[in-house]
Amino acid sequence: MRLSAFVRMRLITHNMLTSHVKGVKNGYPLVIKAEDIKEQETDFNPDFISRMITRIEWPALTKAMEMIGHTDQLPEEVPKDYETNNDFLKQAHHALMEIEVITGSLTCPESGREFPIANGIPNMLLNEDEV
Amino acid sequence: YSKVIKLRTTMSEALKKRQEKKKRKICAKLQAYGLQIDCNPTSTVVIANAGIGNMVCSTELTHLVSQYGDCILLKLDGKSYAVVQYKNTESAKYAAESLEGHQMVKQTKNEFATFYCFYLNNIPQEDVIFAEEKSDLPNGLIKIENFLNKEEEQALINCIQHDISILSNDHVSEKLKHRTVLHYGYKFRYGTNDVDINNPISEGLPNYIENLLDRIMATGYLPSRPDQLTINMYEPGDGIPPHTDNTRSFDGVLSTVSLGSHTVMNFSKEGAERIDVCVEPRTLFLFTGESRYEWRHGIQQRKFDILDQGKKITTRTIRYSLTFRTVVKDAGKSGCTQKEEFLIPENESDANSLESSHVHSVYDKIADHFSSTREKPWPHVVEFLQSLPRASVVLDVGCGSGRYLGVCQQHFMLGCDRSVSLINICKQKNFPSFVCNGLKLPVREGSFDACICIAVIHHYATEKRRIQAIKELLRAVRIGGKILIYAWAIEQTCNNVKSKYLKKNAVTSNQEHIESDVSSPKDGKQKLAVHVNRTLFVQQDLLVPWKSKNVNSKSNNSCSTYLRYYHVFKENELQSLCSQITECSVLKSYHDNGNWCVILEKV
Repeated sequence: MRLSAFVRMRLITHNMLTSHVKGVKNGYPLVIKAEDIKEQETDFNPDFISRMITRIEWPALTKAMEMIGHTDQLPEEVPKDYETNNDFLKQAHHALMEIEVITGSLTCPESGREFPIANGIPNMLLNEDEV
Repeated sequence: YSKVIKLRTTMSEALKKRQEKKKRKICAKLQAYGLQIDCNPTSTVVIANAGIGNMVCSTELTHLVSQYGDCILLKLDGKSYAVVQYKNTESAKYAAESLEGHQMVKQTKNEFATFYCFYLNNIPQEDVIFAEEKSDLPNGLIKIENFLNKEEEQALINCIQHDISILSNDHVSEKLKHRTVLHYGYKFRYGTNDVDINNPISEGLPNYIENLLDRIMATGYLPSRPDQLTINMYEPGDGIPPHTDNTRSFDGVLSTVSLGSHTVMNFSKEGAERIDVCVEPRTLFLFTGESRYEWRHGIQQRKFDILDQGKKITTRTIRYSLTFRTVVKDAGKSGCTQKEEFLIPENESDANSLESSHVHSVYDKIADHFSSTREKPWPHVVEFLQSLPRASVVLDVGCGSGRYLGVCQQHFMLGCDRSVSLINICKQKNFPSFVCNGLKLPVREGSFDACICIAVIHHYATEKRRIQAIKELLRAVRIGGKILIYAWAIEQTCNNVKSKYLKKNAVTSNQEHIESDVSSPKDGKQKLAVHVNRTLFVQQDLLVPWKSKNVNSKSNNSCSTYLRYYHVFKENELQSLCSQITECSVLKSYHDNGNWCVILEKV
């Protein structure tokens, strides 16, 4: 398995995260502002990716790709034959596992609260009045 | 030559025009803020761009504006402009004309704020805060002015200066970042803010202070004669961060005598307005009661102070402070009984501050050493992870330095922790992770197949918070998702088998222990006990010492002790918490090496 020297926020992590600011009803998906992005090749495991497809929010992933400027790389919807569609799984693998935000921020779509990403680590801590 | 002159005039005229235009613009802006600008000089000057909101240092500004006459700088929080009230119109006019176009370096450095001055025909009422000083003292603080006369003061200063010159290389003197310090009786340890009671300095307190000490004792406030003295020498610009003197190591009353320069001491307490107390030379302060236990005191790093409600600026010179303390010999009976911090929290706000001081900040400090001791994964946790279907999406809440993030490569493991330092270590190990508080997880509902939460919920200080933490785990997993929780048990033996934590006792029995404060709950509020490591727990809510080897310290092999808050679980307690939560079914509950554990399913 190829390892990058530093771990960064992958888009699969972004897919799981949501804004949790007090009073926010729809804080998903978080808006990515990326200052520094890196693409890093990782081993492709079709079984793993096809399982991930069932666990992620596909529209949020396509949106995330758009937000970092990678448009038209993913189909709007998951194809019906996704489990055996190797080309599709490769595209999904690239989007989920190989694109990483090193510096930037995640913004709550409703409240506008910004969570910084530094060294690839999203800091989701809230102030006392936001809990 | 005439050409040059001409060029200069045209340039300056163009510049003048541009500046006038700019000034008109700024005037309009100030008026839009509701300020009533007067064309004729008044005694109130508003300086555009000089506000705290424009990153201008208010201390420096005070210094600057008071050069033109007696004045008060009104504190306008967050505004980009400053308002200065002069005693008379002449001073105001002098200031406004002198400061027009003045440039001051901002606190952000590298940048200048350019001042534009206008007159106001009234003082803006809202947002005005006069808060340089307060006449009242914090409760319990006793101030006795002119406790010594000038001759006595000078004699003491001479002795101290002599000590500084001869002891400068001795172990009792040290130059801290912001002041010079001498210790007598016992050396003060800055890492733990206490003294080593087994290691007194042989000389004891210096003879020249005996007379002074007699007089302090004669005030009748001190229960016993102090045996530890710290002398701080503050040069102009020196200060001391806000602190409360350690109540475990030192007795109930502190006394401080101030010599040389005046200074201003700031007292702060959560939920109370700050109190600034002017400290005149030759004054004795006695810290008793609330001022001793609940207020923090500190001195800002300044070269001058603003006195008399902004009317007077006084430059600091060298100041000596003599702080007398009585070292508690029997820690079990220490002054900590009176300290709020050592009580079991009963409300959310106390729980929050206890977790912040005795969990979060401790982990941030001990992260490196902690990580090196937490390499080996616990077998039953690994078993749980391996039992999950292939390619599960798993969240490790309170992942620490990532002990379990790499043990099951077939899953997608995501870690989170409250400690930035620990998450940084995860990052170095190439594990995906983020920083958050487990009481509110920033994750999509039902996005995970499983969660693990190992040795985390015993750090939440109320039952309500422990339940909240479990609820958050349940929210994170899908219906049918599994959760594994481990929490430290008060029962450290199971079926007559001692846990590993206790077993190590044999090897470390000769190790020096922190004295345990085994308190009886009879006398009112429940106190937190300080636990003795590798022994049985005496109660459920405790402070557990962590002895940290200073990994990065080159100078010495210093050892700092930090106290972490724990609530150790009783048998069945964890299940009973879970049973209070809907959509939660307890699949299994067991004891594993001194921990209570549950496996839950979201239904």
